[in-house]
Amino acid sequence: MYFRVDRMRRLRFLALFEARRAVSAVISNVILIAAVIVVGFAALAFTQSTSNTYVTQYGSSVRSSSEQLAESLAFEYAYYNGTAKSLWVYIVNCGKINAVSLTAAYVANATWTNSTFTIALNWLNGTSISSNHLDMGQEGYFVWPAIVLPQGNSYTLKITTRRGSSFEYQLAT
Amino acid sequence: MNTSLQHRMRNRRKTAGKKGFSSVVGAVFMVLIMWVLASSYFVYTLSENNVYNNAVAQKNQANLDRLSESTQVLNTTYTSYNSSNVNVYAQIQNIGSSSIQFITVWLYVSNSTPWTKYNFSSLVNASVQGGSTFTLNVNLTVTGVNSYSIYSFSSWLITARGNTVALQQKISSSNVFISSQVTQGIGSISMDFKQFQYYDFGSGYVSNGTSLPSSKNSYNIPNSNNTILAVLLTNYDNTTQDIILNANSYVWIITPQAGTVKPAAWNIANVTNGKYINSFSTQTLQYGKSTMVYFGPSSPSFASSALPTVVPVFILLFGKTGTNDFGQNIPFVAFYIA
Repeated sequence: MYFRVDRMRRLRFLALFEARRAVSAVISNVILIAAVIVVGFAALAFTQSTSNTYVTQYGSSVRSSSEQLAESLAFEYAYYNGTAKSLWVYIVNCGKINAVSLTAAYVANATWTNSTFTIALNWLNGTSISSNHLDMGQEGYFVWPAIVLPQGNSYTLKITTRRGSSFEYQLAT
Repeated sequence: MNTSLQHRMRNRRKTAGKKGFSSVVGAVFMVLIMWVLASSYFVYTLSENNVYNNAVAQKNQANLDRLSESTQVLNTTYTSYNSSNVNVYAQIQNIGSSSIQFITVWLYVSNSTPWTKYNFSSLVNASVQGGSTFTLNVNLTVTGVNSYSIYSFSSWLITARGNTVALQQKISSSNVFISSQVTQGIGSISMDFKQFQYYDFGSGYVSNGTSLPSSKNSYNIPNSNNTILAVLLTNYDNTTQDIILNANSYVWIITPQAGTVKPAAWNIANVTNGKYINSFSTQTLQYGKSTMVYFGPSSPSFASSALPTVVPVFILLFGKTGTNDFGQNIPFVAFYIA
């Protein structure tokens, strides 16, 4: 009885090799499964990568916007020295965030505009601010040299920060 | 076949169909994974939105706080108590509910030349509770200010929230106020005697557009040269109205030494951007402001260098104040003609 069963198993096993249709079905299934798994993992990796990129960008965007909202600069005074042809702009960081630095300043009226992208901040006592930014509550000024503003005119002075905020002031010379 | 047998057979088929079972498990796992991923990103997005909303709320609160600052300036005085020093005194009442911290006081000084200077001073412990009054009393150095000239002072305070509180603008310093008050009893316009100057064109013709030469601060006037006189006048009209001078305004002199009275006159002139313009319409003297008024060109040729003489000078001013005629003569000047 035992030998009969064993023989039957062997015969079945040998029959597997002889039945080529069955082998090809198994192989094709294996290949199909492997392909599905590979494609699935690839899709998952792509999705996760895209999602991570989105998360990073979204987080960065939200942080940037939040920081921008917290920025607030007030103009204390702007004085144009007609003799030296220089514009002195005094500002205070009255916002809720530190490290506010300036990237550009513009002066314009209805027909004319001028800009500078080199802004060196100083403390009110005249010494230079080494970090070139203002923390909360700090006051400072910058000088815009070599700018010609005819007397008796009105201009709009605009400054922009590194975080993208902009603040305006009406300047009369 | 009864119902019990049918159920059993179905259960056997389900258990025997392993392929179908594994796909269900796989699908469930896939859904779970997708759900977890989607949920985590959703929660993350929500938390970031929350961060942004908090930032917006803080910004709104800061704007509200800033807008709620409200003050009333009760008294402002400026005193140039010695050379290059100005004392600024003011009382600022906080009429809002929130406390206010003042961080800087600014002072701007100008005269009619025009000459301008400014300075500032940081304030320490300058906070005022809602409803309370803050007394400002600071001394600021403004190079060039003296105690006898007329100046226009303006000042403002900067709060920690970035607001600007303007103090009242005032004119003059203490000594000049005395002389102006004396003049005020006589007329509406006062003259700054220290600022009198003239421009000497020599014997040349002064044509339209001629630039003024350097000024001379002197009451010694050459008799044969064409001169333009410059007088600094301040309008102290009681009704605080502007005074508009017309072409019937002169500087007029007469000589008492010539046997017969001989006059000379300088018509009011138009000087724009340092150049003489030979057409004159009107000149406005704004209330409370010092304005340079020009007369000429003319020469007091009746006096010869052989007979130098001191002559009385009358600054005859005529025009309108509001709808009324205005006329004033300032007779407190003398020239030495040589």
